[in-house]
Amino acid sequence: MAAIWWSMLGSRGVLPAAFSITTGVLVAAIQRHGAIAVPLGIAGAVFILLQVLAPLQTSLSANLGDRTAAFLYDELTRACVEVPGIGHLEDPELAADLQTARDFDRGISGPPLSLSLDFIATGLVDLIAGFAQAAVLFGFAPWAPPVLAGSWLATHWLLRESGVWRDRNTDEVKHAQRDADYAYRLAVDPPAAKEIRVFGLSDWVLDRFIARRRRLHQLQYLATRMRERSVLASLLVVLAANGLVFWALSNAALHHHLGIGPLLVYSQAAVGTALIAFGGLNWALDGAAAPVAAVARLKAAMAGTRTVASGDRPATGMPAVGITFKNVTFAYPAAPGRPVLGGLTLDIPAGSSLAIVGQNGAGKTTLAKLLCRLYDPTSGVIEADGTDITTLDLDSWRSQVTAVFQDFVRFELSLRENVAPRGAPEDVVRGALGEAGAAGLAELDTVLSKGYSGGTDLSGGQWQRIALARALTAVRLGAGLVLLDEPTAQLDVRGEAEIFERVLAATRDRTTILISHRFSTVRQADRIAVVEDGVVAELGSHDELMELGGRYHTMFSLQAQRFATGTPEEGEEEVVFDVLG
Amino acid sequence: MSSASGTFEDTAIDELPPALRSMWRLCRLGFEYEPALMGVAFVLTLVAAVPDALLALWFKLLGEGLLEHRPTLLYVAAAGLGASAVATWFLQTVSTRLQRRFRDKVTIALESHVARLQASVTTIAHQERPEYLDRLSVLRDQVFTLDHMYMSVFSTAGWIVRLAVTITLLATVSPVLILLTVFALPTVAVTSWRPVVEREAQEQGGQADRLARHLFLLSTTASSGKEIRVLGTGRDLAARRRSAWEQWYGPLAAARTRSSAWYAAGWAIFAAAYVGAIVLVSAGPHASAASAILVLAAGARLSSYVGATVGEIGFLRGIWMDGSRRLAWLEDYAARAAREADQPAPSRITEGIRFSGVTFR
Repeated sequence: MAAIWWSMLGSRGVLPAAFSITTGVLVAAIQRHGAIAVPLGIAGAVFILLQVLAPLQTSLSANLGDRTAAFLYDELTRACVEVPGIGHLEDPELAADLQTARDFDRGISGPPLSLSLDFIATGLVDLIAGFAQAAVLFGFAPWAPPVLAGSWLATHWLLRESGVWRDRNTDEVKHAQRDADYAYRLAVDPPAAKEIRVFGLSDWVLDRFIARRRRLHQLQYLATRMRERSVLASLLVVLAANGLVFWALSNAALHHHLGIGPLLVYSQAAVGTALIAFGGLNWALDGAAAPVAAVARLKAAMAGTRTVASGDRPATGMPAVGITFKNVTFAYPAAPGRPVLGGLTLDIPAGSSLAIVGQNGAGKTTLAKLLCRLYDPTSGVIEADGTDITTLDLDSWRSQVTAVFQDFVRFELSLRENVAPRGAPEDVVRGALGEAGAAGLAELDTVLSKGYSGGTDLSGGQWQRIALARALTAVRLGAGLVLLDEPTAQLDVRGEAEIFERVLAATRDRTTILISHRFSTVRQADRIAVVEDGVVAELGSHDELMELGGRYHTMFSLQAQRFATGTPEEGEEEVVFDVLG
Repeated sequence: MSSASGTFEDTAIDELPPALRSMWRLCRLGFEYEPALMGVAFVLTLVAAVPDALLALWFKLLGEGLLEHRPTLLYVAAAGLGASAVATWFLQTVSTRLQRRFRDKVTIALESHVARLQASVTTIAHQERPEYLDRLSVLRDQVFTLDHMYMSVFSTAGWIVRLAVTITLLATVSPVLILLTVFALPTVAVTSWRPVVEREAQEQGGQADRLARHLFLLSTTASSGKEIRVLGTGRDLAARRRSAWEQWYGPLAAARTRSSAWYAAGWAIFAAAYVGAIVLVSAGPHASAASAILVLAAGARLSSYVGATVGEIGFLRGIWMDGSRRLAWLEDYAARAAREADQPAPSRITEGIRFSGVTFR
């Protein structure tokens, strides 16, 4: 498709010159009263091509633009999913680029590629057409093309300062841009809508926006305004060159060096050379090239963050004995100086359940990420049945693990695919749905989003049951390690306790790790680990820890007091206190 | 004033206001904000159209000057050609700059206007309900559609001036040549029909497009990235994204290709008429090379002017006008909200607040 696009571009570029020549020949034939059928036929054919190629290329540009965008989206998707860890997706340095690249073809910061390519084609066609017409003038005089084409080309150079805003990356510009955008978003986007009205902030937000926007415009105007001298110089240059060429043409014609045919050919070519000033690499190219560069940059950067590598040992049947954290230290790549885990040691016997509690940022979710090998420890080892999990084949290990995170995935796919994304027999799917308390929510083939034919929307609580059913399906298919990272935060306390009871029953012979803030749920686990400052501060059963009278006892008592006054129903808003905070 | 039966939000979302009226309202708004710049930019756009359209006349005079051995006419025509080429460039450059200046300034005013409208409506349904969000998404994220409308209107006026001059020139050779415009009508018809067909194809693939976007976001977002890796479905999602995109793209690409073939066929009809016009002036008993030159030059320009006019109107109708309709709707919505809440708020609550038979959905 790209080859056809370029061929069309070239053809459209030379056709105006061909048309100038054929019309000159035709007029000469008319003047001679000679046969006009052949020149008329050729001129007609060239004219038809001139007319039909443009719309055909517009359509081709739209398709090519869409395909290019799809290619870039594919590249970006692959770059994101093929890295086995998720460090590249959580890297704050890549986040801004990734956000821009994600939206590049949404028409937010410029036209989508399906439109841009046609703008680009138009600029290039004009440029080629201008040079092709200038080339025709070689037939008249060798000096004419450089003079005329050179003068039109000079306008690009003389007006270069006003064409591009070169200093747009200064702190002042960036600041004004960011501030204006922020104020605009405050005014028009939903999140701030309520408070802006309640506190009467709309005028304040708007004044702020207008002030920043005006400043931004002022900076842009000063940088790109037309300089009178440049405009005048351009005007003089092109006037002189055109005057010279047209004077020479008239002179040659008057002195019988040019007949009507050649005079018309060269005159048309001389006028057509002006297209050089209009054509070129226009603004659309800048916008269209930016995502290509961003995706290439991201691909290289993401490949460079490949910190998780697969081993080669099979993980079938693991964990049969247990999971062991041995002096595990971990810091996120973006903050290497602030370790989240600082020498954590923990044994989790296979077939038991362990609840992890701790204040926000204590490293609870990090433990789950390390077990899933989304990251590897900075130092120390995590072993499954005595084998370092980094030596295990990654796919094999992950097939033994199932996890439900707080921000679990809501696939806009059928219920069946939500519960078993990699496929499972129907009885397994239905069984898992039943265990998660989600039987009868929808038909298995119903799409779980109203944006699709026959689709349906689920409440937050219902979605959580679907996510649990997904984990239970994996358990039924052989996963031995179940990680539940606050998967039921949108259920009320009773609902969560009930669900966890079901999950524990369904995963009785598996190793289950639960992260939760709710002690009514946590207490059901065989053992509870209190994580503080990156290490296990307390470990034991509910009764043991209560007897110990330490941090767990304090936390549990505080929460129990609160709930003694009554608990909210499912669906009602509930404040969950982080009692460790 | 509030009605007893409920608020202005109770009814289903209204239809968008009519296109032409909305466009006129937006033009008036632009004039209100930047009268001088808008006026000068518009006039300059029209003036910039003239030298280009006069090229055909200069070519004809050039031919006459040579064939009738009139050196002065030949020099004047040659100077006219050079001057037209330079003036076209110069006026367009200056006019584009003025337009940009106008656009930049009016954009600030329009963005403020849109932000003020959205922020000043006392309720937040338009910022929370999906149907309102969909309607206003263009104004939230693509305010440029509003200021581009002015440029589009200016350009269309410029092309119409060129068309008028060119048709007049053709009529000086033979009034029959005005009929050339009739042969351009198929392209006009196809231009009106194309966006409809392509938009239908696009809308039919809406679900597939939505799914492709959803899968793309899942694949490239950290929050979903965790579970996708554990599930081991990353590559599958990438493949499904592509397949969903193909489902959207296939029919759309076919519709585009079909409609562009029809469009090209329309142009082929015009081209045939153009050839016929040349035969008419070059093969008849009163055949003249100068007339043939004018028809060749003006006819060729006529086609590009018709194409540009029709294309610009297509953009105007398809994209830019849509923004003005949404703005007009928002203005009406905000005005209605203000009308229905015109009682002064009490300086202090003395008796309390009572909910009386309140329903909400």
